Amino acid sequence: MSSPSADEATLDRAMRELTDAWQISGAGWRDAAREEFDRDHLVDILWRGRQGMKALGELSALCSEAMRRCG
Amino acid sequence: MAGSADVKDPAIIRDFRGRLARFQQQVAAAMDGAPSALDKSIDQLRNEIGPRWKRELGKRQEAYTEAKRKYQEAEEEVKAKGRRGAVDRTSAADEQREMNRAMRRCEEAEERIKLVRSWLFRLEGDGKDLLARCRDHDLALQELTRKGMTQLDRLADRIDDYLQRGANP
Repeated sequence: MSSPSADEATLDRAMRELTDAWQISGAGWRDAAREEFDRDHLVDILWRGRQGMKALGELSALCSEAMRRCG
Repeated sequence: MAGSADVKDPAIIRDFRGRLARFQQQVAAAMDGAPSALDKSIDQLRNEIGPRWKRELGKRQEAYTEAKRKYQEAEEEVKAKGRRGAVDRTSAADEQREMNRAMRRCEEAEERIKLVRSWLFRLEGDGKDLLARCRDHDLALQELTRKGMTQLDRLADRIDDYLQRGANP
């Protein structure tokens, strides 16, 4: 079992890799469909990813604080 | 769309689709760990840290009882003999200090037990709310990435068709 902070790092890495892959794909794909995909799909995916990461981070902080204060 | 497409190779779209599929798996893996991490923290507080402080309180209460007994004995000794100069001591201040110290250690353990209870309450409340938020984002991300992959499949297939028509007019 991994800790929430490790999970948060996994999600952060996944988002960076996805963003990098998107930028790389731009070298050979430049048209309206790409812009539409960016606007209609990728923006939402990355926004949700950031929100998920934030929630995981808060959960991690809460668990760590509980252990630190009570241990 | 295909008429205005600027794609060197549909493989670029398929490669990105593969990257998106991997992202979906990474999100699922990251989110899957959250419930067990919260459960582990709750379990540690409830079954390890809480009972440990209760045992510690028991020990400290015994130490306090002993310190109190020594203080009372010393007080008696001072009252009975000290005034006549039969003992060296002139007061039971040392024993009283020890007793007060033992009492503070009991209070500290009691505070810890209260703290464990309050954090358990927070983890059961705020922690589970955060977990529900993680689940919501996870579900939304699974759905968004699924739709994104479908769209990328559609785009790549259209370009394949367009290229095929160009090759076989």
